[in-house]
Amino acid sequence: MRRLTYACLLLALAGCKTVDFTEKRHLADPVMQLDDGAAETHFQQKCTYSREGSAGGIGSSAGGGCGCY
Amino acid sequence: MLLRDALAGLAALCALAAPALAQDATPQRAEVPSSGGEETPSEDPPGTGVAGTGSVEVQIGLYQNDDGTGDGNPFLDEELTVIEPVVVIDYNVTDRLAVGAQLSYDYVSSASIERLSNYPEQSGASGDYYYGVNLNMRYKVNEDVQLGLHGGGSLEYDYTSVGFGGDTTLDWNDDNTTLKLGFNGFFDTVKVIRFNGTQEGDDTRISLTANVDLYQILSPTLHLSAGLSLTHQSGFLETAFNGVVLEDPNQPLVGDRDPDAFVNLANLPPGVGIVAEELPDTRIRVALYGELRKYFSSGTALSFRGRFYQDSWGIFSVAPEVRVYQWIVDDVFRVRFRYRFYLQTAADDYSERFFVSPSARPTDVLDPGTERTQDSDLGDFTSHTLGLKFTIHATDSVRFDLAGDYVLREDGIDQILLSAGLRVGF
Repeated sequence: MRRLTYACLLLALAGCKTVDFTEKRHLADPVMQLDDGAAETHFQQKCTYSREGSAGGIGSSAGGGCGCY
Repeated sequence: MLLRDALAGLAALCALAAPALAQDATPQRAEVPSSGGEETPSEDPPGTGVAGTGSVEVQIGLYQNDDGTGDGNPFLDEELTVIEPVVVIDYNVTDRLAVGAQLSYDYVSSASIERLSNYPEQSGASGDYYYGVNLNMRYKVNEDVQLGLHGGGSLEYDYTSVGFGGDTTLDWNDDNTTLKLGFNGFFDTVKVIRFNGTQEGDDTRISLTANVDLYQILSPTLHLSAGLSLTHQSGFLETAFNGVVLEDPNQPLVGDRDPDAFVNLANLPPGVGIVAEELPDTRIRVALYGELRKYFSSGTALSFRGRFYQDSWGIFSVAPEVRVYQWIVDDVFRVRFRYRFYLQTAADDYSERFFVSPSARPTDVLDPGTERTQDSDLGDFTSHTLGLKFTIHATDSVRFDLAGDYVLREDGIDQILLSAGLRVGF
């Protein structure tokens, strides 16, 4: 399994082509933003994810709180 | 082994996606999005902007979950409503230095709080407020290196937390690859108020997290992020007011277990005893997560997310998610649809029911000596989340958001999340 992992990683890295900055217009489109934004992330983590035993527990916001209402 | 398999899966995903061909190459300068780990706080990270510019975002959120008879934790009525305004401010002090602040407040209305007023002897430990503040700064050392620092704290009736962290972001390969190394530490103080109202003073909880996040552009219309998070927690890790219902094996409870039946500790059902929740004093948590997103010429973006998690308490979870983003009116109005599946296995110390004969029960109900929990959030369950978000770009600098999620949870603790936000750039 370890060899398969390394093989996949090498394959992945080999397949990544460099994209020039002039070609990145679509990547900068708002629909391509990978982050949800600080406010939404905080709200999701504080409420929904605190109800899941596997939640990150900490979050980017200060004070995860006990998450136990 | 599990994480190794997950890593191999992510790598394979990357390998499959990598050779995608470039399309719609348009000669226009674009900022590279930051790596989008689960701890990444902002979609427009400061430190890369023009001096004197910034943004203010205001969001108000509403969270609601009901609790039918016998759903979830049998000891607690988990019905809950939270109203949470959040304010996020980012400001570019110079072209290299940016600062930010996040302020939040929760108004909490829950059954456990109402019970507190009805039955003072069974004080629920949750108060009805939460104040949080987080300050951050970001410094661009050069075109390829950024440093970030943040710190803050939060305050609840029974819980205070102080935290800090830092990160280093490295760009290379013509900004096609970004590596982010981060560290967070949280030092919490818990006011231990037990299920029977006994106050045991303050206890501490320390959480230390290290993150590695990778962002990779694969083609002009395809990019991904992936990350690994390792957390070590120690100290008081129980939920202070949680109790565990012990049933007599010779006299088990029949039918739905109504939490109201366990409110009056002096008049519990026959054969029932309640002891404090007890859990290990340390917990190691590992999460592996990633996202692959593809842009289509129709103004559509398709996203596949995934998260694998394992901890030392025996909980494993997997959470695949698919999202579709669509411009309805170009550059003005867009929609996001999301579906998330979540599966969690139970903690080793979790059981829905515990059967212990009265003669074998601990004499000190607050120090039972055996690790047990009936907290349904630590049990095994699946959930399905459906979400819709509308975003209107009123001008180049003003944006409105309206979002709603419905979480259908197997154990009956369904949840509704609604939020409305306004973001103004300056």
